Amino acid sequence: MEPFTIETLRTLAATQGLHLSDGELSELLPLVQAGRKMIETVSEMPLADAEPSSQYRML
Amino acid sequence: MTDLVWKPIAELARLIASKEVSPVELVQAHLERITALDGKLKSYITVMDDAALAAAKAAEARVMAGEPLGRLHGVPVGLKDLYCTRGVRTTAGSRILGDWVPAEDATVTSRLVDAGAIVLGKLNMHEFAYGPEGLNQHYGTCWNPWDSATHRICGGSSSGSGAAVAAGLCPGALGSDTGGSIRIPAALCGITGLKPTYGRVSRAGVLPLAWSADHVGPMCRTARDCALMLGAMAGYDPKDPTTSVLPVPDYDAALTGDIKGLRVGVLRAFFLESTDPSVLRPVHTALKALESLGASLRDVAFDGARHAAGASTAIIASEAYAYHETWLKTRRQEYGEDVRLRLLAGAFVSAADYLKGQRVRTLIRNELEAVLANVDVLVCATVPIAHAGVGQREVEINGERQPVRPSLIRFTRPFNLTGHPAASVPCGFTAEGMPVGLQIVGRAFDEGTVLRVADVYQRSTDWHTRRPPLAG
Repeated sequence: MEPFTIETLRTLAATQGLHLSDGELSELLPLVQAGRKMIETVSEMPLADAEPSSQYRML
Repeated sequence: MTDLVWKPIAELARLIASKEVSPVELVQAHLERITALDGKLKSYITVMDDAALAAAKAAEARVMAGEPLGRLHGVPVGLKDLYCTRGVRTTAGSRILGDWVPAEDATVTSRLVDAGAIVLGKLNMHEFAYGPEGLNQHYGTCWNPWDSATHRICGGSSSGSGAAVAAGLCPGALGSDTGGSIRIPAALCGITGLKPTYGRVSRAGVLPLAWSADHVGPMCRTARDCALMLGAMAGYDPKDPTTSVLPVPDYDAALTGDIKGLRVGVLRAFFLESTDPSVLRPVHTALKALESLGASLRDVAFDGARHAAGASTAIIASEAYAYHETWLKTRRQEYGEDVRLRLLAGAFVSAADYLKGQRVRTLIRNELEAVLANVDVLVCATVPIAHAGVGQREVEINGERQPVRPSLIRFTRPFNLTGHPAASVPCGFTAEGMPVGLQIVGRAFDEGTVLRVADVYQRSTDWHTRRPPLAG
C-alpha cells in the first residue's frame, strides 16, 4: 500500500469538500497512516465468500 | 442520610414502596452530595435539581395515595449526556451541541421514567463518545474517585456515569458502548456495567457514534441493579428498526444464585496473556472463585479478536465521519482537538475498506458463535491495565510500552463488533488501590446468564460494596 502524503490528503479531502489547512493536514497524516496500517491487517483474514454484516437486527 | 445513597436500587425501590424512604428525601440526599463533591469529580454536565425534586414530590404523592408503582418508582438515576431529554439540553459532551434542547425524550429515557425513575441530571462523557479515556476539554475531565491525590481517568466514554455511580452521586446510570464505553469506566471506577446484545435496547434518541456498533445499557453498583434497569429499558421499539422482537425475559428472576455446572470459557491468548500482572492477579482469583461456586472452567481460543482492531477502525471511523461530516466542514474548530482529528481521519477510509471491515466482522461473529456453542459464558479482564493518569499517553504492560487508548479498548471492542452481551464486574484492587474489572461475555440475547454469573460472584465477594476515598 502506497503511503499517503500531505498532498494526497489535501486532494482527497478537497474532493469531499473538506478544505484543510497545512497545519491540520500535518496533524492528520500520522493518524491516517496509523489507521490505514491497522485496517490493512484485516486483509490477513480469509474473507472468501463472507458477506458484510449489513443486517443489523440479530434476531 | 449518607447510608441511603449507598443502598442498591433494588432495596431503594422496596423501601420507597413500603413508605420507609421518601423519594424526596432520597433525591435531596443525592443533590446534596452532588453539590458537595462534584466540583472536583465533574461527573455531571447538567444537574436537574428543580425537575428532580418536583418529580420526587409527585412520586411521593403516588406512594401515599396507594397507586400502582413502577419497578423503579422514586429511584434517582443519571443519564449520559447523549440521551435526549425533552426540554433539557443534551450536549453529547460537546460545544457544538452546548445549547441544544431536544423536543423528545430518547425511548429509554421515557421507559425509565415510565417505570418510576427520577432523572437527577445529565452526565459527563468523552466528547461525542469518541474516546475511551473520558477526557473532555469543554466541561472538564472527570476525576476518578478512587484516587484523591492524582487526576486519573475514569475511562470512557461514559466517564461521568462511572464516576457518579462509584461516588454515590446516583445509584444507577445509563452509559453507551461502541468499543467498551460502558465496560471500561465500570472497570476503572469499580462498578458494574452491562452492554446488552445489539438490538436488545433501543438506540432511538441516543446520539450516535457509530450506528452499527453503538449499544446502550445500565451502569450500577450491583448486577441485580443492572438487571432491574435493563428490564425497564429493553424490548422492541418501532423507532429503532434494529431492535429485536424477541420477548424480554424477567432478568431479576434469572438471578437464581446458582452457577453449578455452568461452563465458563477462559480467554487466555490475546486476552489474559497481554494483561498487566496487577490486573491479572485479581482476575485469576476471581476465576478460582467462580470455580469454587460450581462453574466448570476451560481455556478457549477466540483468534478473530486479533482482527477486531482493523475491522473496528474501518467501521467506526467511517460511520462517525458520516454522522459528523457537515459539522466538520462548517464548525470544525468547535471540536476538542483529539476528537476533531480522529473524526477527520474517517474521511480517508474507502468504501471498500469499510465493507472489508464489515466482512471481517461476519467472520469474527461466526467464530464467536462457534466458541459459545461449547461454553455458556466467556471471561477475561475487562481492561488490561487498571489505571492511567489524565494526559498519560503510554502505559507499561508486561514490561512493554503501549499506547493508552488502544490498550483500554483491546478486550472490549471485539464484542461490539459481534454484538454479544458483555458485563464488567469489580473483582479486586491493585496495590495502589485502583479497581479491577472482570469481563463476562454471553450468548446473543442471553443477558440473563451474564447477569446470573455476575450476581453469584457478587453474593460471595464484597468488591462492589467498597467505597472510594473521594466519596466523602
